Order: sequence, then C-alpha cells, then structure tokens
Amino acid sequence: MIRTSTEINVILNKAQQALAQLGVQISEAANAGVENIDPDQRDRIIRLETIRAILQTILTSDGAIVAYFSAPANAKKFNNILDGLAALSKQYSGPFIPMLGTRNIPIAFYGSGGSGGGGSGGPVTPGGTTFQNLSVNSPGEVVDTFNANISSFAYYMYSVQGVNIGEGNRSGFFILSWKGTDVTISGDVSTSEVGGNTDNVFFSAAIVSGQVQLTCNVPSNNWTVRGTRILFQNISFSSAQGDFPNGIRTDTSGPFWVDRRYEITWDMVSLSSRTLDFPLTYLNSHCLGIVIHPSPPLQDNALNLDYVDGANINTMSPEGGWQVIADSITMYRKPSGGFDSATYNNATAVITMRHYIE
Amino acid sequence: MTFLTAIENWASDLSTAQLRDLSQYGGSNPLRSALALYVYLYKRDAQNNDTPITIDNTNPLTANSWTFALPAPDGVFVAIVYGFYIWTAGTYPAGTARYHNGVYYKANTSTFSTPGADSTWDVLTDIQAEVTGNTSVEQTQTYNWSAAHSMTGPLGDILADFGPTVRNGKCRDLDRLTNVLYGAAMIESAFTNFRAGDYQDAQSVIDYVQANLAA
Repeated sequence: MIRTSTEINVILNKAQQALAQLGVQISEAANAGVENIDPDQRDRIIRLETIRAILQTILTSDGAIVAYFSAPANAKKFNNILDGLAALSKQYSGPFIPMLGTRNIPIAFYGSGGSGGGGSGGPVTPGGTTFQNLSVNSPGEVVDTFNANISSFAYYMYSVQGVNIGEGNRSGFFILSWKGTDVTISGDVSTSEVGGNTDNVFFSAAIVSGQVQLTCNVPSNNWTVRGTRILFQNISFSSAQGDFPNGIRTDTSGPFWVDRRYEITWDMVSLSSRTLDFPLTYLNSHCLGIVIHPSPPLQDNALNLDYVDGANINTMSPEGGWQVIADSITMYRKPSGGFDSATYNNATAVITMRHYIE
Repeated sequence: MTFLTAIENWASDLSTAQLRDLSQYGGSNPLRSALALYVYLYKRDAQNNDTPITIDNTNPLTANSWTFALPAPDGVFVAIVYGFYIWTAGTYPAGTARYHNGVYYKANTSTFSTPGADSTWDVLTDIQAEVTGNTSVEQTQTYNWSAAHSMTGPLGDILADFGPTVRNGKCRDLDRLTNVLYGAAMIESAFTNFRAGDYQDAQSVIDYVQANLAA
C-alpha cells in the first residue's frame, strides 16, 4: 500500500461523512428554492453521485476494501482513486460510520473505544471514556491504553489523589497528540494542590505496539488516578439510542436519572447483617452511579434513594445512609433512629446502574 | 440485555413489512424461552414526533417478527421491546413485573403468591407507562430504517426505464442516467446519515426524496 491504513481510513471516513452531509445540504438547498442548475448545487449533486459510485466500487457491503484494490499490484490505481475521493470529500470529516451491509441492524450504542490500562472506570459513554487506576505505585503505572489508530489526539481530564502523610489531591486536563511512534503531552493545566502536595506527580505517554499508553508517574505508592479521555472524532453529546417516544418520560426537568436510555443491568444482592456483599470494585468497573432500593423498604423513605459514585456516597439521608467500608457497602442508621436489625436481615436490594444528569 | 431489531420482508405491494427480532439470546443474555416480548413501534418524523403503529403482541412467547402495516413515509422507525421474565415460583420484591399465563403483572408488595391468585399482583394495563425504567424487565429502544417506498416507487420506474437505454455497456441517455444516480445517491445519503446516528438528518433527506424525486 502506498498509503498507510490510517490514512486510508481517514479518507474513507471523510467520504462517508461527505456522502451523509452532502445529501442533507442538497435537500436543504432544494427546499430553500435552489435549482439543480445552480453551480453550487450542481457541484454538490455531482460530488454526491461520484463519491457514492467510488465507494460502491472500492468497498464491500461490510465496509472492507475489495480484494482487487487491496492487492499490491493495484496499489497505484487504488491510490489514485483515494486521491480523487479525498478531493471530492473536501472539508468533510468525522468518525467512522459503520457499514450495516444489507440488513438494517439498528445502532444500539456508540462508543469511543474502551480503556485497556489500569482498568476501566466505567462503561464507554457518549462524550468520553473513563479510566482509573486506584493504586498507582512508584515510579508510575499505566492508567489508560487504547488503539492509536482510532485517532491522532485526545483530551484528558484527570484527578490524582495521594493517601500518604503530606500528600494531597489535584485535578486538571491536558491534550495528547501522536503520529507514528512519536507522542507528546501539552497544556497540562491543573488546580492548586489541596490537602497536601502532589509534587513529582505527572503524566507521560508512549506508543507501544500500536497502543497509546498513558502513564501516571508518582513519587510514592498508592496514588488514586481517575479521569476521562475524549476523542473528539467520536464524541457525541446525545445518546445514540435517543429519547423514548414522546409522552412516556415524566422527568424531563433536571436533575434526573437517565438509565432508561441505556441497557439496564441489575442484580439482586442479599442483605445480611446490614452489609451488602457487593464488591466496590464491581461498582467501579460497571457503573457511573447506582441507586439502591432495599426491600422491604426502610422506614425512612429517604434512605431508599442514594447513589454511589465510585467510592463516594453522594447523598446521605439525615437519618442515616450508606457507608463504604473495605470492599462493601454498609447500610446504617444513627442510633437515635432506632435501627431494628431484625427488620432488614435477609432482605434484598436492587442495584440499578444509572447516569445522573444535572 | 440489548434487543436488536430491523425492518425487513416488505410485501410486494409495500402494504406491510416485518419488524424482525435479531437479538442474541443465551450466553450472558436470557434465553428466548425465558422471556415474553411486548413490542411498541412508532414512525418518527424529522421533528421527532412519533406516530404509533399497531403491533400484534398476541404471541409473546415465540414471536421473532411482527408484521405491521407499513406507513407511506419512509425513514426512521422507533421500536421498544420489553422482555418480561416468565413467572416462576419464588418471592418477589414489590415492583417486580412478570408474565404469567398470557397476562403481564407487577407486584404491589413483596409476594410469593402466584400472579392472579390474590391481590399482591396488579395486572398491567399500559405496559409502556407502567414498566418503562422498571429494572425487572429487559427493555431496549432501537432505531430502524425503511426506504422501501423511495427505492421501489417512481425511482424504481426510472431505473426500469433506464435499463433498455444501456446498450453494449454504454448509456445512451445521460439525462436518465443522472436521474437514476441522483435518486439512488440521495437514498444512500439518507441511509448513511441513519448509520451515523444522525436520525433527523436521515429523515429530512428521505422526506425530500419522497416529496421531490420519487413523486
């Protein structure tokens, strides 16, 4: 191949985006009264027709390059076609649009690539990918890994937290840029240190076997690193699944829970001796937040709706709440609340994974 | 689990089509035999207004496709599939929804009773309103695409007329060629927008095709 696979993918993505957006522009212009003899409209129509013809010629129905053009003997011919495709696509760009072949398989969810380093901090979400490493030891550990071919830059928001004496917290953001095996970090802007120092805590990056590896360098052990990576080519600030049809949403004013937009996963867990046997690590790797509905309900209804964000309990009833101890969540009430343990033994709780939208 | 659907199997007169269930059952997902499916289908327009389409839900235990009256507008269809677990003996917390003997129920208190045997289970009369967001019911909303009218109507006629104008591999009528390419490319553009998740753009383009090119 004369061009790299990354360059080819970029051109094909541009062409797919052009195909999509030219149709919109043509119909919008036509609806506004622009005639087909208008030079700009004519240009759009011809480009649309030509791009479609080229894509249908060089791609199979599942989006792969046909064998003829992927053969080394035809590399020059294919390169010339790509030149034309790139010129026709002009300013259009965007992420890969999946080929659905001959079946209209609905799109259930768009991700921007899962994190493979240090454990995922949650599911891939529209808008970004969370990552975390809850115990980064000196001199440093990889906290995020992903395929370098899916982008050439990334935006990171992060938080580092030290647990040793004199160590504090800091959060910030930076931009990562790479080409080939060269990668650089720039624009690391962070808050002031709080609760102690974060000296010699910094991020570095490398391309290893086609993977971008983000490392957090630390001067001591047990640093907690969390964050979100955004690949702007893949970003979407709306749910790919979209809203439910009108008329069935009752909580349209925020803040509200929006778990209904996503696949709903739930588990029944036993509540024994007021401790939920539900490892916190599972929560950290599977959800951004949860709602706990104990059954039978607690006497104080306010206790029935709390949510957990990682290791932090974000809402607490005045009468009690949930507490993270070791790797489990414990329900408790203040002594004055007259907690009756017998009432709750062998009860169950439903864990619902949800996103909380302000 | 995530249900997957698609619109396929259009009737030759385009009076009906099928919403097909392409979901993966088993493995980490429930078996099909463990679920009773209840489906809603809507035609969504470019302003995100939904028009309900009647679906026959009388065969919830084995249905893997649902034939419906295909409306005239092409484009985006929204389906919502609810998968109710079939009731088996046990204790269920309040709010749990189950299917039993052709009826959908929701427990109004913690119960170990058989649905229908006493007042601890309420019969669901409006499934969408009463179990949306209920975590005891598997549920997924999917987008589906149909451009059958655009592809087979007047544009199909143009394509049929175009055929005889090609002789020895050469097109003898460039105007007809342009008509064919333009309509086909616009339909593909609409579908590409659909694949990209730009549903309103996809609907707008196919609306334009139906109103101006296929009319």
